[in-house]
Amino acid sequence: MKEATLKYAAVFCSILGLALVYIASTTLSTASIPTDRLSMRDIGKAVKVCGEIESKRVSKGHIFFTLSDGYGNINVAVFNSTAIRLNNTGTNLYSLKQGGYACAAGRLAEYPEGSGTLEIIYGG
Amino acid sequence: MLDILLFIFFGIGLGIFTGLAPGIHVNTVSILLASLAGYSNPLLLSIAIVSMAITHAFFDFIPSIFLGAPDPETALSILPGHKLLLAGRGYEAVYLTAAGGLTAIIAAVLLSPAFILLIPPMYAAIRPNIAAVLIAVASVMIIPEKGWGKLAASLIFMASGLLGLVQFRLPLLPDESMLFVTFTGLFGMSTLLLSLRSSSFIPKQTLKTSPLGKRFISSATLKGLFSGSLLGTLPGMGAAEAAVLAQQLSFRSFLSKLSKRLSGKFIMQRIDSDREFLMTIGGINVAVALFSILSLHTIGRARSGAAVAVDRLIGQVSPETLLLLIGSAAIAAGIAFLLTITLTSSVANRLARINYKKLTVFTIALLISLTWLLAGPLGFIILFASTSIGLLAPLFGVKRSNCMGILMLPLILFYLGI
Repeated sequence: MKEATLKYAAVFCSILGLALVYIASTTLSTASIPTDRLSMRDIGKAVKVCGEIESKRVSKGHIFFTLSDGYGNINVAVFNSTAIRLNNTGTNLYSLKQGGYACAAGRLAEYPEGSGTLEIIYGG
Repeated sequence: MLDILLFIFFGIGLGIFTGLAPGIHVNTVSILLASLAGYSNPLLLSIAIVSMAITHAFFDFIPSIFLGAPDPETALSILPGHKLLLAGRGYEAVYLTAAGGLTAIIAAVLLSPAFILLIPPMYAAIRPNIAAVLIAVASVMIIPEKGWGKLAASLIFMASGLLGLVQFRLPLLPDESMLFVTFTGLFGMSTLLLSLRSSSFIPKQTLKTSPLGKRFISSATLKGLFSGSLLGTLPGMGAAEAAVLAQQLSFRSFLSKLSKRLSGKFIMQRIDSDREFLMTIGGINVAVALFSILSLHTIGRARSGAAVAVDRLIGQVSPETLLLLIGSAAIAAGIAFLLTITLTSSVANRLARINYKKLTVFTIALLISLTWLLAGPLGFIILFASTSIGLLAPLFGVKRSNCMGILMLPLILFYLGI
């Protein structure tokens, strides 16, 4: 095998990688975790939960809502910076309605600290 | 998708930096990136870490092959990359490691479904016998030495092992600083000091590479994949131990060729053995980086600094996440291969114009400064001890890989429960 062939192999390797990343990214966007599988050990990790919006309130531009997925509930916090950024790109989270279906992807946190209550920091 | 590509390129940039800069370890930067979880998406940070680890595995060979080259009298007992450098084939040496990395990752990606099925039973079978595996590797490392060489190799293995025991059991320095200082002494500083004494010169470097035969590629790729998958999955072992194992595999094949006793072909066979070893070790470095991530999914264990950082960020790796990380690794590997050979050709072109003695003195000064910066005065004592042991191997005419006792002896004792 000559050097030029290996250069083509490198290009093939990157294209193969691109295809895998594309497949994974489309699959990942639909993969969510049931709330009963989340624990304190997952704090700081990226998670995604989908479910019904049980309650919602807006305070100083921050959005807070609770998602229920049939396995349990989880609080979601969307800080105003994230909400405004998404709003500018055409996703209006302020328009979410109680009883509607939503998915929240972000970093898992404990809030209030030491309470044992888990919360998703949307987009975190 | 765009953000994923952005983080892959970010990781490649970091990997080039950690690979080229002596003393900046990929594990240190991985843990640093993991601490940014609160500021960025943990999955994207994990993608950057995997891309960085893979790119690092390619670029890591450039400073190790191009820095430190003794004269031909001491060449028999130093790393094969330096031997090729002295033969004016430094570019080919790096090219072979990059080729090994590329073929290993293509094979590993294509065979990953099989590895996902095979790793858990393989892990379960070998895990209780790790001490026996390590003793076997150490034995095949020492036994091929000739006559008194066996005794010298055993002493060097034990001396470096004792140094390792002192460091691991009396944690005097953080792990990363300690390993940097020790390996700088054992393998870097000792080579540089010898090259100073023997007033090394670097011949004009050629950018020509010999074509790689199918048998040559498959042999090196299989050895790289085998050693990388085995030792990238087992606890406490990694690319360094895998390289020792692969060197024995190559050495045995070298011995069988030598047995033909065709003196005219002897030099060519040595060079072929070195070329195959370089390609194998390139494959191992990349394979270990990839298999340590696969281990997160298959056995739920982190087997490298980068894997620990990914574990901290996203925890148990789901099949979709694994696919994303493997894809990112493949993109990074393809780009890293092309960048490695481009940069190396540029370095090789300029190398003959550099006063190598001044470069060696500069490198020694740089390594001493980094030792001071990372480990303080205690680092100097460790550097002195490890350099002394590192000098023994070429002085006795035995392989410097016997210094790997620094990691192997403490591990053997640990797994024997001593």
